[in-house]
Amino acid sequence: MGDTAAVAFEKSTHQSNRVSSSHSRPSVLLVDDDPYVIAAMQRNLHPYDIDLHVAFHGFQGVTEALACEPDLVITDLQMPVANGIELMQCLSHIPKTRSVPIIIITGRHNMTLSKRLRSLGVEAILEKPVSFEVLSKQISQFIRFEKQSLPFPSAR
Amino acid sequence: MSSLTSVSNTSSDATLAHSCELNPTNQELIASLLALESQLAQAQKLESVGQLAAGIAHELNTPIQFVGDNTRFLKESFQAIEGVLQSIDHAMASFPENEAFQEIFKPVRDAYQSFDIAFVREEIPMAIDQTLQGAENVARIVRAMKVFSHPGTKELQAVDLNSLLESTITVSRNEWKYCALVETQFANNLPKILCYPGELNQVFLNLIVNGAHAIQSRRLDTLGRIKIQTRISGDLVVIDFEDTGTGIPDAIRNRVFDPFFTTKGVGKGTGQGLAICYNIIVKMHGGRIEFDSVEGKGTVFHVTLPLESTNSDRSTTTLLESESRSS
Repeated sequence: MGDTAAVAFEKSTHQSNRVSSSHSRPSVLLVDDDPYVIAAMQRNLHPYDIDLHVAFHGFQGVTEALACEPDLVITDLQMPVANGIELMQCLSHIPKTRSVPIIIITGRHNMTLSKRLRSLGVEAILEKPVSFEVLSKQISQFIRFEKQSLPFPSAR
Repeated sequence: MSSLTSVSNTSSDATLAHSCELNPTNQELIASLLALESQLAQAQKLESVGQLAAGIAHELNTPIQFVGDNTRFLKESFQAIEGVLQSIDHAMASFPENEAFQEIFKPVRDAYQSFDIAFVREEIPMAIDQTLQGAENVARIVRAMKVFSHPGTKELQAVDLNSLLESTITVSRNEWKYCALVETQFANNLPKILCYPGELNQVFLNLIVNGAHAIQSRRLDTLGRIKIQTRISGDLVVIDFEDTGTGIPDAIRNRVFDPFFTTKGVGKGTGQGLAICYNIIVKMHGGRIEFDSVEGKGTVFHVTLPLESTNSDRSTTTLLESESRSS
């Protein structure tokens, strides 16, 4: 898992270096313990003008957030080492990350949990499976979310 | 010695006679105990199956998430690749008859002709769309299963009956899809009603499955029909389950709600379905469950529920509130 995380992290930083004006791009931290979920979302987010960082559990999420100071955190809830709630609690105690908006994507959802999450300042709760269209709409509520170029060579 | 034996024989005869008298009662008791035991075992089995289903539904969400995301990615990617291919088509069609050009592009032409590229280009988008559709179907079924297998809270909940019915229809699809079409006609002005959703799900499932079985029993070549309708009638909500099955024979009409009464073969029906429905609708919700049936034509079950919660529950709530206030 650690290796996969490192590879994915390298990939995402590599991706962020493609455009020189990387400082103005919104930075997004994606946290999920399933590498396939992360990989599939990365593929779909690839065309967008954002700095994408990933982490595979809550603890890694915190260290990653300290490093990249994200403008938005998208996180799963049930994860090893530290879960999504612990991640949020940590972020809320760190001045740099205190006010970062958080979108939750979870496979387990119920009313009690949703109340608790709202009380922790969660902005949006999405239930897996969530379509990329729904996720994009949510993301664009918090950051500038535009395609940076055509994702693929276009045919004329 | 022999007299002793005879004495003891006499007394054991008396005991035997006495126990013979008791026996029928004992046997009845044992029978009902066994029945209760098997009912309990069945209930426990169903409960664990329900928990298992809820767990599986949760587990499925993650793979569905990335199957959907990846397929979407493939769809967008292939659209772009198709664009590239079209420009190659165009270029190849307008090559000058120049020998040097022909030489350079020969490998491209050969590659194009090495397999049925037209077929592949036509089929890939369809394969992707069908995969997306399948993933959506799985997602919908999983959502319905989650609603359905939600651990029944022992509190009344305000629930939209129409969506409860929708999820039951989705979950039970395998029971009816080979023998019937399910048609719904839902009142769109239905307010949420206070009920025990897990229990109502069970009633709806039982009635849908019964309808499907009644249609199957006719062994027709064509699909039958199950029509589910919700409507408001005064301060009641009525849910009709209409099937084009065999109908209920006159002779057994007053027994269908009896526990252990079944016309299905051994191992097929437990005779609990409608008894449970009766218990849930009448005793738990203060509603009614009735039916109209024409033999050989079909049956309509009418489930009637009060729009307001049941009176007994309300008075309990009020009582509890006043108690807590006074203490």
